[in-house]
Amino acid sequence: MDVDLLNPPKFSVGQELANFLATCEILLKAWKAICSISKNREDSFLLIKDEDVVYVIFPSFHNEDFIASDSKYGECNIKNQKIFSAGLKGNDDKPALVHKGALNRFLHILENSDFKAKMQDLKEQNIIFVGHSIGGAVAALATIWFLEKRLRNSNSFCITFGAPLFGNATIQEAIGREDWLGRFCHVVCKYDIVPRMYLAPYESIAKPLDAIVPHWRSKMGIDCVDVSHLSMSEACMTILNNVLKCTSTVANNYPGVRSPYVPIGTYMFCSTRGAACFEDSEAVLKLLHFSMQCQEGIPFDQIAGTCISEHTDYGCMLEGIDEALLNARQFANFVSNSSFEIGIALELEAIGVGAQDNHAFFALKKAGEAKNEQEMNTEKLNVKLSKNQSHMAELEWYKTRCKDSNTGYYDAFKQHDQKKDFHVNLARTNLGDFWDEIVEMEEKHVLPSDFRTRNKWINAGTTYRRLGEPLDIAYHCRTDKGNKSFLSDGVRPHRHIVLEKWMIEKEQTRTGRGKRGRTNFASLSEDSVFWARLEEACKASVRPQQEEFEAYVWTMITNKSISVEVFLEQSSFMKWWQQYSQIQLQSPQWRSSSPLFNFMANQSWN
Amino acid sequence: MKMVDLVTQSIVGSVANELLSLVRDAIKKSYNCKNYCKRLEKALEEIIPLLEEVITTGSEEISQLRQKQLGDLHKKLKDGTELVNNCSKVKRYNLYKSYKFANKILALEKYIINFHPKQGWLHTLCDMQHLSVSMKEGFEKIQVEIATRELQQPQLMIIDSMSQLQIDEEIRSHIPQIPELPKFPVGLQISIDELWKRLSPKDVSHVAVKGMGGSGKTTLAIALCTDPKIKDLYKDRIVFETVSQSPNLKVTIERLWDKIVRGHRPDFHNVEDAHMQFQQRLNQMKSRPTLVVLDDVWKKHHLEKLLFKAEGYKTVITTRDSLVEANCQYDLQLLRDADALSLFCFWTFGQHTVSETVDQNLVSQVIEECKGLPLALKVIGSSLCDKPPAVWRDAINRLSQAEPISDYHKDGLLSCLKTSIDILEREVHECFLDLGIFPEDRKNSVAALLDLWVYVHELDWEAAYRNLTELNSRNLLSLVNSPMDHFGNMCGSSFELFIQHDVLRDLALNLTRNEEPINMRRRLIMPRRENFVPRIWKRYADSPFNAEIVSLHTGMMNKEDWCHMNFPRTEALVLNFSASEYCLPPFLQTMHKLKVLVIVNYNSKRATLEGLSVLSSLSQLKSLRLERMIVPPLHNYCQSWEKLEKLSLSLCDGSEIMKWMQTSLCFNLPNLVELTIDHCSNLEELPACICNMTSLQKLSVTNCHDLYKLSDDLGKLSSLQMLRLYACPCLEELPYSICKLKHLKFLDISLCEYMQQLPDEFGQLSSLKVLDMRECSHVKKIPKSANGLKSLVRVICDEKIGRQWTAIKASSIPRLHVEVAEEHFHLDWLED
Repeated sequence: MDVDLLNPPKFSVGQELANFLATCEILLKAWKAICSISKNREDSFLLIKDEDVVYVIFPSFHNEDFIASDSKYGECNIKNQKIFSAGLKGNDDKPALVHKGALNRFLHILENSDFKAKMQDLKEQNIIFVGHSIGGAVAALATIWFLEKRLRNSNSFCITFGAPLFGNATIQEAIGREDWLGRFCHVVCKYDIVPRMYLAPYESIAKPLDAIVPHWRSKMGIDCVDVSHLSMSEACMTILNNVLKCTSTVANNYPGVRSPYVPIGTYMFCSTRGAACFEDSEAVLKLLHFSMQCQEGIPFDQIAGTCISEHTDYGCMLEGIDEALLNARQFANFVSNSSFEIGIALELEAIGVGAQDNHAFFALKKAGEAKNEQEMNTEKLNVKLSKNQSHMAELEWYKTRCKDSNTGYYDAFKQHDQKKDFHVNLARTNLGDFWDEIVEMEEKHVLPSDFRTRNKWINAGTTYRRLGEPLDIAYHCRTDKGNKSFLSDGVRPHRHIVLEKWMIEKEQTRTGRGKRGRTNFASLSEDSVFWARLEEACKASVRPQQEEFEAYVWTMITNKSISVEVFLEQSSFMKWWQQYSQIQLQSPQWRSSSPLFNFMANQSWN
Repeated sequence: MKMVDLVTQSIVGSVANELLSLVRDAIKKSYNCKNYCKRLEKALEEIIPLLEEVITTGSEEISQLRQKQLGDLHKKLKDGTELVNNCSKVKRYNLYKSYKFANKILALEKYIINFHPKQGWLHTLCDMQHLSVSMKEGFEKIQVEIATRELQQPQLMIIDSMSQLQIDEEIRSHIPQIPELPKFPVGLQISIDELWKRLSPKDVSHVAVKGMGGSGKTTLAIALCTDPKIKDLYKDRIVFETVSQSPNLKVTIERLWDKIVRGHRPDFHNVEDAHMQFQQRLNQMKSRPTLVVLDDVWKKHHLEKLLFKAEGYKTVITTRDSLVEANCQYDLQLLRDADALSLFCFWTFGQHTVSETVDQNLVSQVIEECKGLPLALKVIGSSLCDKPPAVWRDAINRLSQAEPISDYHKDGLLSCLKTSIDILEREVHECFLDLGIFPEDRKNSVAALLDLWVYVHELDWEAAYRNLTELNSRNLLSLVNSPMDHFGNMCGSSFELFIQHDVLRDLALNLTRNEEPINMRRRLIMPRRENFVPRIWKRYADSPFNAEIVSLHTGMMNKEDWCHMNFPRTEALVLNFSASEYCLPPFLQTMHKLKVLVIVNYNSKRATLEGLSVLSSLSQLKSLRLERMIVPPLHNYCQSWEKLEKLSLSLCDGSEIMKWMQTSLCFNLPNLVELTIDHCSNLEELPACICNMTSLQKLSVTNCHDLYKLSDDLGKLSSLQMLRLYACPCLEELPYSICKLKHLKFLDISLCEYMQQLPDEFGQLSSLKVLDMRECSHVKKIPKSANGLKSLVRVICDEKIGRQWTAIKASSIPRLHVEVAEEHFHLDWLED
């Protein structure tokens, strides 16, 4: 890390965000919409238009949805269903897991209703996907599905109430990369059991749920089943016990098997004392545990009851928040000069955990600092990037100057006998250093999660790679003693591999529009390792490999993705071509069948 | 007498002003006399400016008559103030008094109004008479001056011829003071604007336009004076004076007096007196915008006598030398290509573009030779006017050999420039002549030049360096500031390269050619030619050449291409070539006295060097420089180089250097003081034997991009004072043993991109004075021991590490100066 100190974060805005959400009425409207869903619509979704917003409501409380029994935590790989894009993956190759019950429900709706058609009609509108309980998880999946369509001018948002965790870290990374995390808002009551529920293995909660779900259904006015009080309270105690065991494992980082699920999006914790929002996945995971802690003076069975009852009590809770906002808060024994720390303390007070809870406090503080560090790092890199543009300009000038002398800059740099070759090597090392640092930081997660999809960095990285990598290849060829190919393992600098991967991933998410073919030859060959391939072809003794290269060059020419500088008189490519065409001309049909021969003979690049 | 006059005048003025303010007051207060007062006010407003002008410009004695009249006016005005004073006290209903005062005011007004016209025309006539007499005196003086001096300045000749015509007074007042703008000025507007931008600020009193001879300084100055904007501002107060090499300063000041002060001029005892009196008068005068152009100033002490300070008084100086502080200096740029072309075409074809009858190629080649120097364009252009292509080709040939193409070229251009050289002291003059040995259009190594002066002319380093800066300040060469500002050689020069204007190089060559016959010349210089040796040289092949300095510029050379020659007295040999193969001349063997050998290849690729055996005879060699070469192992030949002090290898192949220095156990240069290895690729390690050269004081291994390791024995170099390792990006650390270098004063590790740290014992470098470590971005920490660097006075570094140095400065090295260097970008490196 750098020697100089990072500025500590100045503020924590979790409470203000919650206040805003609570007062802007979306939440209440969404909740009311959920309450209006009737039994006969239970299998499908509901559209409600309110002013210029469309609420899409998903049903909840199917027994079979809650308990997906074929894996330990009810998870399944999202890839099994082809409805999500290939881009929904992590930064590594770990599988993307979601809750199977929620996924099945969403698939069911997708296939058995006019959901797709309705969504088609709704483009260019503000859409809020809403769901309660397991329906919330379905709404979140629907939101991801909708976001992946990348419709222009559409604005979608997801609000859930008491929704369980539904996806693993891979999903979280994928969404974070696209900067979509802010589009998910999960409202969670202090004691509501459901959001924590899936941290426990399904077999430990399945049985109690059998008893509890009918109770909820009747509470929500879907069914009218009478649940015996005794069996209910026993179920409540069991489930709370089992869940608490698992949450404390997670919150305290005890070793052991962990549930794959992580919080995805913004969590708004509500209590009778107020509300606050949190974004950091890790911190939310801990708060899910700490906020459910038993408080002194309240018997365990009472808390167990609250855990179940709060799940259906969001209406009251939301109305209560307005009131709580008006009350001044005080906290005892908390001293700090930092407005950031005071902010955290206030948040903890608001969600009923209390500022004195050190674990929760430090979890939030750490999260805030980590986020702040990410932003600060980005800022620093921005400054560095603009400084490094001067080096890029040096490279550009060098390229231009070399072109004037009829040698491409690749070959000039390979020969390395002029002062300017030395100078540009300094720029090359500087730039390499800079991008190495970025890639390293990204891999260490000290940059924002969506850093690698930001257009600015993708474009800067791609330009750098196309302009700079030929020099790296030339340097390698000049200094390499072992005759190792640039493309062999461990030779090509890691930064180029990563930058190329970033670019390809970004390309995949870009909508097809605007992708027109080139009309002119590129100023920089789009394939940055063109020269390395050339070097390999030059060394290759077998004809097929050379012919392969010919075909490769010809595709680049037809795409016009090759730079015309390749055809400069003194370039290595021309030398290869002379040798190669000499050999190939011995076979008479080649002349007529090779489009490249024609192209070269006519000098069609001019 | 005079002082009394002045007093009267000023009193009259102030009384008038006082009266005016009273009247204005009265207009406000008085009711009855308001209208009359207003009339009086108007009359006063008219006369006051006139009175003021009398005060400021009146420099001559005022006649008795006029004194009396002014006195009357004064008295009347004085009465007037009382009158108005009383008048404003009159009560509104006192009609009688009002009437009485009104009449008095009217009378006063009438007097004032009539004061001027009454005697005005007579006064004017009087003044005219005075003026004509004084002018006559002035012209006579000028005539005398001219008669006693060479007629050098054209505008003086104009005055001369005109005065002979007995011109009458009316015409005299229109004597053109500013010379005419030359025909077809090009590209001036930008320079005028630039110059004016520097001159116009209020606190700037003078700006010097600096440039080499013939670069258009005077033209620019004239253009400035005739610029409509300037004319508008200064009107008739623009003075153009040519000072030249040996001016009569007193006369110049007298002329300035006549043009600026314009009154009676007292006799000056000497220049100092003149300067003092003029300055005094300027101080007394009312400030008015005045522009003085001092054309062609050569000496600083001339300038000192001609610079005056007053509000609105500005001086423009044209000079070839640096006479004023840098911020008052405007360096005149040479013409850009397009301007150069149109100027050349004007003088050659009388039109703006190339005439169709002449090959475009030839034209551009000739223009190329002129290097944007207006005078050269004009002179060479008009020499080629209406000439057939053969003459053009011959001219190009001659120009490339630095020979004059015509008499006009010789007289018009070279002798114009020669004046710059003639004023040099003998020693500097000799140094200037040496500049011809370097090829044209190249940045040449300053170190090579200094070596030459030190070893051949036997100057000491300081003197050599002084001469260098003198030539630079006189625009006879330009030092190229190395962009990184490395602290250079031990004399403190931060310059590594210099360039020279082609025309000046031609001049140097021309001057060396004047000595005849060839074999008697002190410098034998052959500008570039492919087939070696001018025939005339061969004629002397049998007899020894007298030359001390020999410079040969060729293409590729084989052994057979050289002929036998004998150079028993040669001390410096410069071999420039552009080829991929080069055989050293066999006559090197005859150069027993050779001290400086410079071999430079200007090809884009490294050359292989052959015919090396001749090197073994150089027992007196002190300095050897090789550039852009594949240096073959020299261990068989370098045994006799016992006196070698300096070895410089630039742009050479590092692996060959390694072979040379490694294979020879006897890489034995006992007196080597300075070793420079620059821009050498493939040099991966520093040869270990270098560490055995205990005489070494200065080691530079710079821009070696493949160097990743320094020898651990570096600490053995007990005499080392300077270690430069800049721009070796692969170097990750300094060997620990460098901490043992007790005499090390300068250490430069800037641009060592991957340098990770400084050795922990760094603080043991007790003599270290300067440390340059900018852009070593991986060095994050200064070792603790750095507190012990007691001799350290200067550190140049980046911002981050700079904070640590500042902390060290605060805690233990108070004398330390920490310079935070900004990263510096430029494109100079594109031109090799």
